[in-house]
Amino acid sequence: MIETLEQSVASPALEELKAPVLYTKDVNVWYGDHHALQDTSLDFHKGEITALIGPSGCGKSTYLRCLNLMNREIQGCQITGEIFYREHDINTPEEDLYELRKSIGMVFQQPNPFPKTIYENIAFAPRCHGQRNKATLDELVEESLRGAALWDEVKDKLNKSAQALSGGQQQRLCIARALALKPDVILLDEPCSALDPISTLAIEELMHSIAAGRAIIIVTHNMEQATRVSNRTAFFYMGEMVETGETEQIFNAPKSQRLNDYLSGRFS
Amino acid sequence: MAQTMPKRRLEKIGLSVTGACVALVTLVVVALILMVAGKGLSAFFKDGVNPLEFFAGTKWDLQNTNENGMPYVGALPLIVTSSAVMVLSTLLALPIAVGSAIFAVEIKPEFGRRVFQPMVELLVGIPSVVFGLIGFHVVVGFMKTVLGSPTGLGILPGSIVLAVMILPTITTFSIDALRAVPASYRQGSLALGCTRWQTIWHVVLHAAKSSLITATILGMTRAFGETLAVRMVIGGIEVMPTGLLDSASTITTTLTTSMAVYADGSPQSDILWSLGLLLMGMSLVFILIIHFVGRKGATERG
Repeated sequence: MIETLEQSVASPALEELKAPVLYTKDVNVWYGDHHALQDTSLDFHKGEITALIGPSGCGKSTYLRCLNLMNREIQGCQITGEIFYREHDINTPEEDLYELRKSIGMVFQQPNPFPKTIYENIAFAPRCHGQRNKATLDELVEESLRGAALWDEVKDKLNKSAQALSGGQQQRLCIARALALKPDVILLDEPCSALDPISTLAIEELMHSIAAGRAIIIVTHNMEQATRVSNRTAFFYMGEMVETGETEQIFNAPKSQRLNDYLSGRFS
Repeated sequence: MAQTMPKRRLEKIGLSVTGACVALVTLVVVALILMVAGKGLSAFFKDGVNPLEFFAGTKWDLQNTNENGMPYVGALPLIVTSSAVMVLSTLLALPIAVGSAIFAVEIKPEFGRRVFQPMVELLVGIPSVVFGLIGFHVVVGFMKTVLGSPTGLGILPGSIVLAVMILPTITTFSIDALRAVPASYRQGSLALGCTRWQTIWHVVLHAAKSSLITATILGMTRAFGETLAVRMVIGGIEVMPTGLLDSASTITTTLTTSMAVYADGSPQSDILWSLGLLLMGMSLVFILIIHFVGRKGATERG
């Protein structure tokens, strides 16, 4: 784990040559009769941050929730197409959702720490996956909180309720909670939309540091945020992935008319 | 000015009508407490009953008197029976109530909302005498034929009947408690790859803990105060219970049985008031616990 981490920091170029850790082919999503997402194919590489942008209801969050099959928890939701993770299609009834979500973490729009202590919030998931050793758990908690740049702020109150933290701290705790399972993909669903600008900045800085050795995929409403944090951007519109490319190209030289209209604020 | 006058008068009338309602309710509550307390305490102050004998004495017999001409007023057997019936019925009802609430909220929410909850609420409205009647014929019969109890009456059948009666109370409040847990907690847990069972057990039930305790105590309060249905199946013999299938008598059933027998102002009548006061005190304690648990839950949530 540590080695791959260092490698990716040392040579991002090499990382790009590698096969994507996660990619989709022609993913479609229906909520009942509503065709929410059409034929979406995207690749995600370790060490890269991908932003999914587009107006409300464009399907970007729907797509994100396919990647760890969280859509399966919604009644009447149907996913077709192939989602390849670690070289096999996960969009099958046999897929072990628990193992999958262990290595593809997710952070939500509203910070949602459990009504437990800070320590228990982090230790909860490793325990669910069978880790019972107290010393290992202690280590994991510290490592994850450090990874989420939260350790120094909370190390003296690990046994206090997580819900007493500020919104930004809670969101970093949620990131730490995901980090505790050592995922290689992290999905963030508008993680800053409920936060103030300073907390937002902290999360954005954090994203760069956790991107080492991981694929980060972030849904965001905030286009400046997309330009600040992401390497690649995919633009969704009306349930369709319209255009994808390097973030710079997407924002400076959009190819499609619809993206151009969106960026110039003709619709939102 | 002339036009504003009626409006101002209307305001005054509204104020006095609603104010009178509040005054009336306050008066009733205060008068009720004062009366029960005054009557209940007169056994100790006027008749000279030793409170220690009342709370710890094991012989309850109002018909016969001792050498001082006083009835035997050891209420411990009644207190023990009331507590036993309350605890046992809660132990029987709680797992079933919480289990069905989990199913109705977490597993099949649509079924829970449309079918199960209305059905449970129907159960709340059934008069207790009906429960007692069914208990007398079914539960008591079962005790006699299957467990070989001679009368079939006692604490166990009483607890079973009570368990059925408090089941809807605990279930309804448990359903509300689980529904109040934000969906984001469940999603957070599922997104960490925890199973649905782990999510329910460690996250949902944990988050609903204080509300579930409140639900349980509300059920216990009802169990402690219920009279009629218990009276029909418990036997009504005022002795210290030695087994679950022996006839016994709770505080409430003793009150109903003896209430009309003794003249007002007699030591026997006074001591029955003391039982009433004890019941009122217990319900006060339950309410205080609920408040305490609620406040503790609120501070835990931050």
